[in-house]
Amino acid sequence: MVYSRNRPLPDSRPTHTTPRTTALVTDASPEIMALRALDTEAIPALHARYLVELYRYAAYRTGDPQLAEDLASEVLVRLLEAVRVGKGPATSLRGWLMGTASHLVNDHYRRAYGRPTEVLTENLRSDAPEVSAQAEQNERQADVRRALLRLTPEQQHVLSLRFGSGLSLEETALRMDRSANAIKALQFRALAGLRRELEARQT
Amino acid sequence: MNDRLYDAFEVCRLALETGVPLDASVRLYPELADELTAPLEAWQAASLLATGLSDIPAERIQRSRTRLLETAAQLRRTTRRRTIAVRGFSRLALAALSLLLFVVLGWGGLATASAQALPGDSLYRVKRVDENLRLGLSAPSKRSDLETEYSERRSEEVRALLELGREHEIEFTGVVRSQTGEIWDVNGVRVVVGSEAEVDAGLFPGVTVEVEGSTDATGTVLASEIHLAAYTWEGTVEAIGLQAWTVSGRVLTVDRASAIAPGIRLGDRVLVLIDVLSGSAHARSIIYLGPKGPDPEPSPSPTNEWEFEGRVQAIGAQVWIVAGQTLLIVPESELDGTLHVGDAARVKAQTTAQGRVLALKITREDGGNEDAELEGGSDGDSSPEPEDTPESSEGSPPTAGDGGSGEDSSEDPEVQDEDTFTGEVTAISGSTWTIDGRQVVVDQETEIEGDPGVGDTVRVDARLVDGSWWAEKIEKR
Repeated sequence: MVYSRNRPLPDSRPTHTTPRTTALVTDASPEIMALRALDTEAIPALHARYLVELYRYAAYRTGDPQLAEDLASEVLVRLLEAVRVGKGPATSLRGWLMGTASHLVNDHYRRAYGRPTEVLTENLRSDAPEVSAQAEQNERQADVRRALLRLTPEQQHVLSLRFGSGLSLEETALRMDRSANAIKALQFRALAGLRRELEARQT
Repeated sequence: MNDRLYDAFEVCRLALETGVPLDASVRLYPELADELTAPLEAWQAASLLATGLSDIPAERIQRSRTRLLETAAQLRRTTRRRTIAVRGFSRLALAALSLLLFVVLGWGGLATASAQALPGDSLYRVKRVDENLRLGLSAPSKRSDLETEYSERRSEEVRALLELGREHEIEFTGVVRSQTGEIWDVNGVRVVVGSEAEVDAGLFPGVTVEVEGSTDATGTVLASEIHLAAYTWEGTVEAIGLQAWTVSGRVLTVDRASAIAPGIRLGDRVLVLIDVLSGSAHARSIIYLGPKGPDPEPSPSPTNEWEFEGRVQAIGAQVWIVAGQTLLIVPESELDGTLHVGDAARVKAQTTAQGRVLALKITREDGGNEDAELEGGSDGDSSPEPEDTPESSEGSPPTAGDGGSGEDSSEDPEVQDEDTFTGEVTAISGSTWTIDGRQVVVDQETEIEGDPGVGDTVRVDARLVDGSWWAEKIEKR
């Protein structure tokens, strides 16, 4: 084991963790200040505003409603804990929330599988009335999710923001601190990869 | 070319979403049809996973909301403990007052002058404001020490008020040492618990409580409220979760602040230091005791704080042995970092209801006896004799780095707060990674390169905060 001591660490955090955009500064700052003060109105408002988006994101990536609920709740809890000690979002509150959700999902899969290879059988249920059609859809969803899990975390993230959270290209670009063109390219590569994985499973 | 392809994809995707069949959509760009078909089919497939996502059951929303509000209440309560409530002052007013006092009188001198102030004195508020400012400005790694110091200061103030026979409202936190009818001993303070006092059920000697009440002229605190603040719980790990553990039937919430020994598995025996926050049990630390075994019968004897002197025989991350006594090291343990094996030390310890001995404070004993002779406790009759608990010293998990810490302590008396090391990832549990036997916390600000997983060799830059190592960067090698 290489073991060195007192190596100076960089004064600032990695730049990729600090979104470049300042578009949401004025929107998020009062909200964060209220959260830091544990304002009794700001906290329920935070929950009402972001839970659904976080839940949908996590549910899309995991396919497990219970887990999605836990992860979405954990993201909001971590935000409260972070802002209380002066950490948390520097600019974009929503970007921080979605980034944290992505990390938690990645952690979940690392913990569960080391490398994701299988999918839990518990999938989201639709309201399809016919059981056979429901079963077929569940099977298809399971195939797609297995393929999704073979993508890189970043590719999973972009598809989950687009489909799970229902964000536009521009909104996704803001959340990921990228340009819209970069998101187009990332999304295209993600879909091409997904297609390859689906084909590999069919052969 | 690629930009045109991506733009074409967006157009075809929009067409697809408005009901245009896939083959008709790609005919909008016949020259790109081959390249567009596969990703558009993947788009359709990916959209399948969004089916049903909008249906979030109301009970899930409510449950999540309740949890968040409970966390907020917990944080408020923690804040209330940590900081001094300067009632009637806004932050702005407080800042203005602080600045004014600093400029006109010199804050340092004023704070010094207020150091001996007691509740009811004109300078007492200055004293509390000074503490609050110091807490706010302290480094995270020092904050816990300050909180402990100020908590002890509250008890000392109460004792001083009682000696002077002054009447005033007070609140302090301490360990229940004895209960005799309505008379309790809390941190050496005599507390009368009348029938009108609001007291949590099931309190017993050994637990830590918050006391609110008032001093009177007869040298007694008349309690108005007594609430459980902290206690220990020993048992078997029955469930390990991201947000909660179950230990011998007790559900304990955990978070990033919880200090959890690495390598604990289902069925292991653990000792948990529990904070009671908003009525729920929160694990401040979970200490590994050993592999699966029968639940011990709780000792009927009260727990106590006691002191002794002796030679340091072993220094580990979770366990020290002094004068033959095995001491469990907990986050609150105040340790002299200059001590080495063989040094004479003075130990302040606490015995739990299950007979475990926690180290509260270990300091150098100058001119100590050559023999590791034990002394009785400072509190007289109820101080127990130290007893051998070999299972504790043997029970430390091999990955806890006991030897390493001991070695470090002997090699380098300086307290390290930054470190870089390389090793194998042996476990990833939530936000806690075990790397080369060491536990580091990973959060959203940790820079992770190369997507490392269990079994990979990584290089870690870490920083010590509040007794835990936080990973600044993890790089796969």
